[in-house]
Amino acid sequence: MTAVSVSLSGPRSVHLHRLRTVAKAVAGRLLTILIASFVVFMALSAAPGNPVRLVLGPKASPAARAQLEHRLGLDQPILERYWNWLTGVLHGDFGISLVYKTAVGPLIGARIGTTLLLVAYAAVLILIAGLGIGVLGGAFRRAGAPVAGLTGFLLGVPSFVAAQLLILFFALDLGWFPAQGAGSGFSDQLYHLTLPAISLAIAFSAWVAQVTMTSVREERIHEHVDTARGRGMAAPLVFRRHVLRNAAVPMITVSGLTVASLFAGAVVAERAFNIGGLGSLMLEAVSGKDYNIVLAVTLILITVFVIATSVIDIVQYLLDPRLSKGGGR
Amino acid sequence: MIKLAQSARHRGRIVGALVAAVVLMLLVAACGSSGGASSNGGGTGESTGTGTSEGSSELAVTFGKAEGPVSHINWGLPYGEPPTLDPPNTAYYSSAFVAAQLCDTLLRFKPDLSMEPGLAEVTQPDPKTIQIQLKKGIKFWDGTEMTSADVKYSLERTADPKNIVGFLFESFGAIDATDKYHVTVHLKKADELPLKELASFAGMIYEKKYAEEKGKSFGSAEGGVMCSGPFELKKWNPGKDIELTANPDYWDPAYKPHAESVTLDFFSETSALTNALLSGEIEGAYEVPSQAIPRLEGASTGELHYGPAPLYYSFSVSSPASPLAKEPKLYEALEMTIDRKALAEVVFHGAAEPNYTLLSKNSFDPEALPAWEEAYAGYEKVRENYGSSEAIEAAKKLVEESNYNGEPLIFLTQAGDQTGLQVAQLVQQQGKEIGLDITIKTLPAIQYAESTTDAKLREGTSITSSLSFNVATDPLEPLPFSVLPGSFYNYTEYENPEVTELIEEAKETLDPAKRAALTIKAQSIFEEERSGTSLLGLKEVSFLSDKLSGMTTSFAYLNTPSLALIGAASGS
Repeated sequence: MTAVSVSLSGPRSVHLHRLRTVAKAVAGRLLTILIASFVVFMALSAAPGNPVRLVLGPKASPAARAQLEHRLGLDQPILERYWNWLTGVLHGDFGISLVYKTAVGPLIGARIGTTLLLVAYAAVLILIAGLGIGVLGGAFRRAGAPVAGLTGFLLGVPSFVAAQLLILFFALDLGWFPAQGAGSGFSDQLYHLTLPAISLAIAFSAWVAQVTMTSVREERIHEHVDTARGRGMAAPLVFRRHVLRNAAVPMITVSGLTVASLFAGAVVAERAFNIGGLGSLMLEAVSGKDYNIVLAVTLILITVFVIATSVIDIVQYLLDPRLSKGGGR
Repeated sequence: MIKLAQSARHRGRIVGALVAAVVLMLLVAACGSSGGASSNGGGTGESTGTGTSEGSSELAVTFGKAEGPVSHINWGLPYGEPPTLDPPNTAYYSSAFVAAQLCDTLLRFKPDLSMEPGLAEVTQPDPKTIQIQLKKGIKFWDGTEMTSADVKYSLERTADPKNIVGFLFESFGAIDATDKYHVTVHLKKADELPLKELASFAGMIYEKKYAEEKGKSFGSAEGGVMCSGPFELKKWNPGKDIELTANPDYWDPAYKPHAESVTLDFFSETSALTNALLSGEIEGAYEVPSQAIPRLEGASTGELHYGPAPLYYSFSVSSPASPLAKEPKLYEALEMTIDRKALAEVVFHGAAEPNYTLLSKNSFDPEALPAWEEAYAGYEKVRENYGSSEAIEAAKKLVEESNYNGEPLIFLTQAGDQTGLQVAQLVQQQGKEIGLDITIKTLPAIQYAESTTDAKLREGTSITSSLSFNVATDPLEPLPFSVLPGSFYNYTEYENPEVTELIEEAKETLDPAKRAALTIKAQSIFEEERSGTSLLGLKEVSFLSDKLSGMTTSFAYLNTPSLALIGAASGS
């Protein structure tokens, strides 16, 4: 009887424990987003500059200004304003743009697709080039020095410089790609976003390649790798099972963080190639102190980061048996 | 007068654009009155001659003429996406230009910046009354006929102080739609300027029923507009472009579009615009930033054009507590060292001309041009050596004779405004030669914009500069804001009762010659007591593809359906 109850309670408690861990992790991440949104809201309110003055022009009467401030809720206490904004967001209402005088949701909706495609395109390029070159440099001794040299150089190329060089060469000289714009329709968009995605991918690929190469090299000199070789295992199998699998954790971490960073990095490519995405919108909104747009885009960026880091955690947990075994403790 | 932050263009717009555009400051005054300024009929849309206007040197006001139809034009907007197309809020480059392709104005600028009737014949029979006789049979895109109710509604919205251009019609009292095609505007005081503003965004007419239905979304990407212009708003893709299609039933043959459709692309970086023009992806643009001129001069896809414009670069003392305000001699010394010719060449790549008075030459009243030119010649004769070694030696003496103790003079600039920064650096360098310590302080765009209207933010500073344009070509539009007590751009709190009296009298004087005489007399006083000037008059810089022709090259492009005149170039 006792034995039965133990055997039943064991898996249940592990299950509950895991559930509790997941719940804690989700709650922690939601709290992170909440705190970050609060900090951004407060920082934006504390920053100098009254947007109402810009919107109405210098000749507007104090009454007209007061009326607009009231309509926008700018005359309320700051905590009340934050609360109103937060409850609005939870109901899917991101407020009204001061500059465009229209709901923030559709403004972001019209741009987010372009940014997502650009980021996804760049991410694919980064993963293929970064991981490929990194593994190559780590696997073959002779490739190490050239890969280190190349990635070191590329890491130092700012994306706006890369963008200008790509435009000069591939758009203006050769005419292979458009110099600007995002295109319309999926294939035309891919065509238009090729140079922007490359400009965005260059430095990030170099970073991913360097981390990958270093991890692979570190794993190659471990004793268990030598042991496997000594046992007569085929080199490709040793590499796959004992080197790559162990090197995967840092590779995935850096790749995940890179993809999350691409959202922030996209602003440079968007401006250089005149692409109307979230980055350009954010930059303009910050300058004009268009509160609701800045808050909404920031919230999206923070959420992307939190999701990306969560995915990294989960993948690491699945890949590394030590983490999964110790996960419940 | 409208001032705007340069950042937009620099894209360095960084904000550019941001924002910048944003920083518009509108000011325009009102007052005085001239008899009907609009009695010459006839469209001049196809005019190809060259002309001079308001004191600008010999610059062409149009380039070629459309030789045939084109199916599509890709056009660039260097100041980025318009925040709105709601006419009384379109006081920005992009929004004013796009709105002008869609919505007709009561009066219309000709390429030489003189005015002709647009939707209506407008007269001012007495200083306090404006009569508007609407043309019959003009239809909105939806087929509804335009009537006096639409005119009354549009003008009342423009005069509403909640809208950006509301102050232009401050003197408006009751607006009566006396019959289906006739509207009378009663002015609260004699005022010459509102009639002239009717050729701008302030005089745009749109459908009352549509605007009321759309409410707050009127003019936005979502709500659109309903007007009578040569192009219809097909689609506004936020963050990307605006698509226009030709209005097949357009009422004015002079502006019947040659292009079936137009896409207006938003730009916020000078380099992106330049690349797009060089690659031919974009076929034309107005307000081409001066930094783009060197690269575009070698374009194989098209050509740069320079036209006359009431655009000017001004330089002001920013606070009454500055040593430059307290000691007029010190200010004079600084101004004497500024080499306008070098500024025009180095910073504006030749798209500017030196100017030596507070009023820019390109703002002279065309109806009293000889009087203004004669008055200006006197100042130019004395000041045209500014920046030369003799002037610098004389300036050094003035500084030595002054009580200047070497305290830093702060020059305010806006973050991202490369032009403003270059001007500030040049002035800093030239000030150093005569012993002035000029320190450059850069403010974020929004704060810089506020500093132009908030004295507290200018406390402790000494110098500011800005790019401005006038809507109407009339000295009484910009001048009162700098020389009348309590005005927005009178940063040094300048006050001379005689100047005030002369300007006020001029505002109410209908006769252009008499008005000019009064204003020029006021000028002779404030020019000797001044603490600000227009360093340069700027040219309108535009670019057009070799495949196209028929471009208005003057600043009239901004308020007229200028894209309707563009068609295929000969041979293509």
